[in-house]
Amino acid sequence: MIPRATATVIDATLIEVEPAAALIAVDIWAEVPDAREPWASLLPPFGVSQDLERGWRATGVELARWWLIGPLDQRSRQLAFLAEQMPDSGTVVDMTGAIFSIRIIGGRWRSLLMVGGVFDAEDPGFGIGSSVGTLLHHMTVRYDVLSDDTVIVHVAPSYAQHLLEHLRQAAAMIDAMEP
Amino acid sequence: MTSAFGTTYGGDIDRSRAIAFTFDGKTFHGRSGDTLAAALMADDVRLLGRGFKYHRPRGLLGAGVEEPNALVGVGVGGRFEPNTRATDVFLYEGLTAVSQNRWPSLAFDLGALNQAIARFIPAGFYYKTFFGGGTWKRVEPFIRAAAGLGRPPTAGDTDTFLHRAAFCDVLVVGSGPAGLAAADAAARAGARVFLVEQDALAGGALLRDPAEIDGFPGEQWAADVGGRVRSGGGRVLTRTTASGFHDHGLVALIQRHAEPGEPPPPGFPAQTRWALRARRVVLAQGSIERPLLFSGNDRPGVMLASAARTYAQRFRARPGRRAVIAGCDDHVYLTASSLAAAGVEIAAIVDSRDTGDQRDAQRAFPIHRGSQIVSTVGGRALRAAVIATPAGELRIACDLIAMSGGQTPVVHLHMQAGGGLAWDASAGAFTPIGPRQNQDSAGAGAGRHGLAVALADGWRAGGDAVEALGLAKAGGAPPAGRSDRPAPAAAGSPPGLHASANAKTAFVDFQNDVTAADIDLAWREGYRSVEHLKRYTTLGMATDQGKTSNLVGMTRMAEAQSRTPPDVGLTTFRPPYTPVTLGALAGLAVGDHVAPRRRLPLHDAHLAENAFWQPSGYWSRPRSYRQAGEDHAKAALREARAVRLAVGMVDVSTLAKFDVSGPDAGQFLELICATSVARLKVGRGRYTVMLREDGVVADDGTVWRLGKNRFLMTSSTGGAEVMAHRLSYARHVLAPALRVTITPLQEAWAAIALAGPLARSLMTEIAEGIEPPPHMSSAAAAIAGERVLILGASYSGERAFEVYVSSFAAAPVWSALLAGCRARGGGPYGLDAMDLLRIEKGHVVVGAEIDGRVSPHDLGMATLLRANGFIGYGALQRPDFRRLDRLRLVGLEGVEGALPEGAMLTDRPGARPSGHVTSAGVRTLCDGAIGLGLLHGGLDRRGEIIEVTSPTRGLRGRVRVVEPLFHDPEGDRYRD
Repeated sequence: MIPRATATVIDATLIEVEPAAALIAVDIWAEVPDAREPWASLLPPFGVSQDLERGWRATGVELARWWLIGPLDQRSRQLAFLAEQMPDSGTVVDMTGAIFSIRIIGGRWRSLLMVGGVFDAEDPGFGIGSSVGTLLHHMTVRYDVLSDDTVIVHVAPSYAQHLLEHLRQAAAMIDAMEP
Repeated sequence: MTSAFGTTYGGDIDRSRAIAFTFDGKTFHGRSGDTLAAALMADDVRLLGRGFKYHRPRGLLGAGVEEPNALVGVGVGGRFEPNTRATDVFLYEGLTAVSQNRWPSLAFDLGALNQAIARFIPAGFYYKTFFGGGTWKRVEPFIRAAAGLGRPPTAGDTDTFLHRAAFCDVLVVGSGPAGLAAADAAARAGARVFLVEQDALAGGALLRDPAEIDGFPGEQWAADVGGRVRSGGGRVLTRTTASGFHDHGLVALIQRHAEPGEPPPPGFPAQTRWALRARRVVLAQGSIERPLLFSGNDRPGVMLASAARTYAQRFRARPGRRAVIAGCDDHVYLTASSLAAAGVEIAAIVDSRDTGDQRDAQRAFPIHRGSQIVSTVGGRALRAAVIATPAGELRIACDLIAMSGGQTPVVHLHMQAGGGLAWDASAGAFTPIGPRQNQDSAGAGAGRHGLAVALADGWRAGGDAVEALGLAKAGGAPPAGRSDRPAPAAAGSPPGLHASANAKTAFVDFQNDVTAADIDLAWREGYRSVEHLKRYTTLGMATDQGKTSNLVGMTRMAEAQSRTPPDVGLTTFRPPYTPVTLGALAGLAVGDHVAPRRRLPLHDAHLAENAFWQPSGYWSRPRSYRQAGEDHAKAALREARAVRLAVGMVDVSTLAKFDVSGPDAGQFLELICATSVARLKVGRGRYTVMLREDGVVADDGTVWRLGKNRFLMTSSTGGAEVMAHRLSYARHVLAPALRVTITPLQEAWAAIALAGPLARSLMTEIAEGIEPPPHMSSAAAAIAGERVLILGASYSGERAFEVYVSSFAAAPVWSALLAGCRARGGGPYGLDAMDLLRIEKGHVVVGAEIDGRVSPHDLGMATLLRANGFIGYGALQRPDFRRLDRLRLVGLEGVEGALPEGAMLTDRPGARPSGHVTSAGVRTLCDGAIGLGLLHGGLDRRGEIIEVTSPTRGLRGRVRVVEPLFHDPEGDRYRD
């Protein structure tokens, strides 16, 4: 006596692969950036992402570690710029190739990330600009909320195919169940 | 009428829509909203099953998940689901159900012959066959053939199952009056509420005992509560069972999207398993009625009074024509009113108390006070009840006995969450006390019965929950309930088995055919612990887990001991509350997704070379690139020989790689590595080992100085995650003041090893702008236009390089190297060839030689160690590590017979093992088996010929103990 679904999915969740991008890790010795440093304003707090100039986006992934993700063709210039800006304050490491990014578009992304997940993606406090590292379908992932209907999921490239298959299968079910 | 939950409610079943289904091949028609049990009852089918052991005919005892008798198999093919309670599957078009535990048919079951030998097969009879004369071996085939309930499906599951996480402020389990009131109180206060109900409809007891709440019909009130829960961001989940209450507030919910055997809606999983973390949990699961003990209490037509009311009121299926209603509390009068309203003739009310609530009933029905049922009369259907009254025994014709032995609060989840229980003597049941987690209990589940009481208690529990969360309680009074039928007001103790009754046919546990006589037998045979009683008699086991039987059995046991039930104790309730389909536990982790699969950056390139994949942890790596007519061994030997004679290449992208940067990077690495690395010159590298704090080798790898303040450290594939944690621990705990950062680069860089006597010429040709770096030196270069880092490192014993490149730029580099290899007579090689090469060179590997027990000394690496200052140094000074009779690394050379990996090493046939073979292979350029091993005494036994044996594989041979180095002992081949 379970009510049968009759609704038709008209706005299916989209799972898209992001283009390859540069990834730079920035670490500082201090636990918080010195506000007097010129690069301090580039670095958002832990758990927050923000857009920078020329298509770059910075994410606080640990208390004193940030990811800078941006256009591949600007990798060398950005590395040189950062190394010049903070010669004694921390390190700048090119991690390009270490993540694979998946863009989920649609109003049901929060429900989707609860499938096989452990993080409360449905918490209203997990809003635009929030970023968190967690587990999804037994894989380490990082979420970056771009908008109410868009989130980026970063995952190690070796897991990408497995995660894509999971997300596509789960999205089809969530779309059917929550039209 | 439409309810809050999108379907019809109560007795207002959509009788206009007929649904066809089959039971044992015969077609019936039910109505939407019917359970299978209700539909069969409406068609006057009373025989639904057979007893497990004696194969006595069985009908319906209950109307919900507590049903022990009416177990059926539902569905076909991969959707076949055995042991489904007929009371817990709702009709759908095409439902196919079959009875079970009978042959050849339900009506004529040869298993019923067991009744003739019942005296020989009492509780625990099979245990007694273990004693003497090999009896067990003679009877085992028969017992095994008869054992088990139901038959598993023979086809694979065709459905998918979803795992889903959820979080909420307040979880309310159960949507009876108490649960609904609790959910209402929490939702009105602004909490995010989950309300779950195992039934298809919300309402609980309201479905069988209709009432008005706050002036509205119960269904409308329930709809309003559901609306308030949803508008607060919560969920109302029907057909959802809270199956387990685990630590840290985690509650497992099993939500059905389709009935057993039914195809789910398009795109839907069959079930969702929710992992719900609730800040507060209100348990309002109600109570389950207990049966009474009398002879023949299992006969079709004998059922719980609450079940009789459910069939009569909710399903409009008359459970009988003439009823005897027996019990020890006022439910008998409620039941009489309810059944009479449904057109059932009330032959008698048999009240074991001398007094009782007889308001309306006294005038309407014949009542026998101070009386109890002794036995029943009938065959496959009930014909009469024999009752004992103060005036003597009476025989009353009837086809229905509705019995009420009191209410047992459903405390399973409370107990699973660590809560305690208290004995309520007036109710004759255990009630929840001492919650250990974030839970509260309300309503009948807490032993608080009656509509008004339950509503008030639920309202209180919901308010307390939100208050505990820091929210203000909702204003207003609890919902007010009103019913036009008498509410139970007083309870008594259920009567024990009458002295003239036959204990051997008075069933305590209907599902396991445990009788009062079985309990008595266990007592006589010395079983005193309730846990022992359970195992000996099987009381409370199987799919219903004693929902109707546990307390009856405990009470019988207590009577035998002249004790009270709390003194006897209660067995532990464990998850799941009701049976859970295995698919629901697996979720989407089935088939290729049973575990994460990691793909190499060069996965497609290996596919193009016809790679045969080998699981390596979660990774899939090429085992070999077999050619026509080759097996793995031949392919590996061909590939290894190409490395020895020309040049080969292997994907080593899975190696752990860490960028270690900062002014104190060298100092940090001196802590991690047991060899000296801080004084490496820029551009140079070194082999190293890393120890655990107990001095045991944890891993090995290389360290390369890429700049003044920058190092690259590699370690083994399998230990990559562990090494990342070790580095993080050392950085943040052991050396927090150091200015150093560790960046994992395992996934950032693909890595290709190029090895062989022609490797240098190939590298000279292909690397743009540099001379190939010497052994243990590095250089940055470009290959195929991609930036690469080239390390002069060898794991094969040949001149070799490791090429590191961004993972997404690896393909052109692989192609360029492959073309160069091909032009020189070589090609790619896989894990098997790599293993042959490293064994021949005596290189150790994590998981084989580095087995979590060996020290650097055991591996012959003592000369590599620094004087002090590295993790594990202190423990390494223990004298035990210097014992010469420890297991130490040796080489093994085949003399005769087999040299199997993992085999034991013994001094002579039959002697105690003195070591084992850690790795085994063959020489690549000539014949002969070789291997590495860990042997007590190690190389002090060089030259000895010892036995090698693998009894489990039936293999044995003899080997000579030699140096663990079979190829190029001077190391000339990897130097220019």
